[in-house]
Amino acid sequence: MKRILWVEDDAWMLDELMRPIRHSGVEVEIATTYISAQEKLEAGKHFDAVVVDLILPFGYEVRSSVLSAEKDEQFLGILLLRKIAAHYPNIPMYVLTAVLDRNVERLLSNLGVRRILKKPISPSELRNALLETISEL
Amino acid sequence: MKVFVAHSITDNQFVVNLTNLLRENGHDVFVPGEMLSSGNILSQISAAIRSADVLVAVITSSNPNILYELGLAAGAGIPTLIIARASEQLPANLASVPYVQLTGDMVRDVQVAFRRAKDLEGLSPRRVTEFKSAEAALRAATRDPSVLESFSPAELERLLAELFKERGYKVESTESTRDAGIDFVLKPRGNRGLVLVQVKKVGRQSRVSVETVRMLSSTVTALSAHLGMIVATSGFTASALALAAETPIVLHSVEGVLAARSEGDLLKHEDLDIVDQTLDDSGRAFELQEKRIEKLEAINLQQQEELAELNEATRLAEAKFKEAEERYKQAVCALDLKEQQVTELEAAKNRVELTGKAEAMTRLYHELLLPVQAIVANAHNLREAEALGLSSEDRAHNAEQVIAQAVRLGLQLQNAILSVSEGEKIYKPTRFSLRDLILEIIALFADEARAKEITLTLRADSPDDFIITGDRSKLRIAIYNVVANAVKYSFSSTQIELRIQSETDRLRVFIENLGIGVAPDEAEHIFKLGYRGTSAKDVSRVGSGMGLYIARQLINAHSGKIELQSSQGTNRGHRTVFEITLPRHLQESLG
Repeated sequence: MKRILWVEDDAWMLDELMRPIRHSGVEVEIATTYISAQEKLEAGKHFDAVVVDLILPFGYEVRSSVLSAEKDEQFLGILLLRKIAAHYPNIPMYVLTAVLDRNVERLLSNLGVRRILKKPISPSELRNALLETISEL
Repeated sequence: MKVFVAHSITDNQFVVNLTNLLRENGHDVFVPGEMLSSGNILSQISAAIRSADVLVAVITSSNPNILYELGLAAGAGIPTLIIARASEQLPANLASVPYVQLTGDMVRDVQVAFRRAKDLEGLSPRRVTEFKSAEAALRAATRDPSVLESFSPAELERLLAELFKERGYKVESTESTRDAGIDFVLKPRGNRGLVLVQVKKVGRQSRVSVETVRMLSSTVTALSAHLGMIVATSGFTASALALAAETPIVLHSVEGVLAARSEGDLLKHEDLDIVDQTLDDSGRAFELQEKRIEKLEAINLQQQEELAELNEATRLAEAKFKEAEERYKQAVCALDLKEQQVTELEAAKNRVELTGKAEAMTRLYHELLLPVQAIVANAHNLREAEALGLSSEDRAHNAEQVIAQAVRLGLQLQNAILSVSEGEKIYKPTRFSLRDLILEIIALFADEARAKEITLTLRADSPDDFIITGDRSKLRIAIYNVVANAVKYSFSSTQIELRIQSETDRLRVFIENLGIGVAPDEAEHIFKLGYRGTSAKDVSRVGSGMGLYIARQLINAHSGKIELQSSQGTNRGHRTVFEITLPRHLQESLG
């Protein structure tokens, strides 16, 4: 069974976005903060793709001054993608976000992000985009 | 002329040379050493001296006889020339006798002695007696140029001095006046001041120059005399005459002096008619001039003082000006610096504002987009319900979601509009139940609360309907914003409690949650536009920082108030209470 990691702090509200993917037999695991996404990746579970929103909360529960440098990052989603690219280079990366500009797009391409998807998006469009990659694997 | 040379034997060579020079020039010289005839030598010497025109006495301490010869000459009125070495101590009563000091240069000393002896010739009593009187001699000289020619300048001076004496003037000659080039000083009868007299023996074709007049004029001033007089054997230049007319100087020919019948004639210019006037005028002119000079000197002194003061003032002014200039420069520098700082500050402020606005707009967009995305997803799946295998329950839920998110989107849009609209807002007051409004708002958070495992409860302290007058939609968004904040920043598995209290003329609403809380130093900032607490950023990246700001604006417009009542730390997080107070009835128009 294929599995994707969806990093989205408003996932409860946007859950219907993932219904078609799930219907296609893909398991969607949700992380609502930067920290929880990192934890899920580090737990060793295999993910066939990650879908990341650029605007993410850091995660209150693990507040620590040691991490303050990371918290200062304007878009924690970008920080997360950078880490994934460095530590899990085989996981295809997707961005699903509302905020985008040319500079951010260029940065994301350089990081090796496969596709940048802009909200609002229809659930089937998102499914097709993700399945394209997943079926390749 | 006849010269008696009195000498000692040791001075022989000098005497021989002088005697030879005098004789070469046709003068008769008596030398005692040559008088070797028998008889009384003293009487011979005495006779010789009395018949001489000039006595030349070569004095040495080894020859006291000479003092005898000097005494004889003085008694006979014979002009005398003393010749002595510098080392020679001469008797004090000889101090006024003409004197040649020997230098040791024989040729020069002989020449000087010869010239001085010749100068004394005019003083010879023999020459004066020859003409019986000075006046006779001078009249002869004016008639016969050869007679005039025979008088030496010194002789002519002496004759004129004698003439004035003969006419009853006091005549004096002092060392100081002689040094100043004055031949003698005339004291007019009646003692009216001093007249300085210069006698000029000039060639027949020559004229006394203006320079002579000018110099005498200066001397008159310098010696505080009243008048200067030049007596010349010939005429004066035109400019000399012109200058004399302007200065206290009278010019005379020898003939003019002889022709003067009165003192007035003498003390005025020859061509002037008015008698005593000249002296008076001169005196007055002199006095006036003196006064003028005094005045001028006083003015000059005053001017100098004023100039000094002016210089000092100028110096001070310059210093002050420089100081002022320096201060000005510093001020300009400071101003420049300040302007630069202000400019930088403004630029920084603009940057912050721009960044702040851009950030706020980005967040606002994100917030608006959320319900849009939710609606799009739900509506899409509803359309694809068959293919996706949605149950009827799923479909109902999706439809509810679409409606709820649409309402939410409406509220967000209202927030957005309120946040960007400046100035007056339009309020439409109605009477409604605040309790019902709060229940409506709670319903909007049902899904989110469920997802976060949060329960939202409303507790009313009375069975009242909590009727209030106000703009319902404005109060809805105000309370919605406060509740949304509570939901957003609550920890999962907690309870958000809303309480509504009824008082006589007002209603109070408390919103209490357990979550990240508000730090004490942030309490006063949370109602500001665009402000987000540091903890808030950790929990949710979403949040425009406008909610509480808009809530306070709208509540204030209803003459109500919203406050952070408390935010206390517990072992499960911060218990935070917001309090909203609203008047039941509007006291005045809304806004």
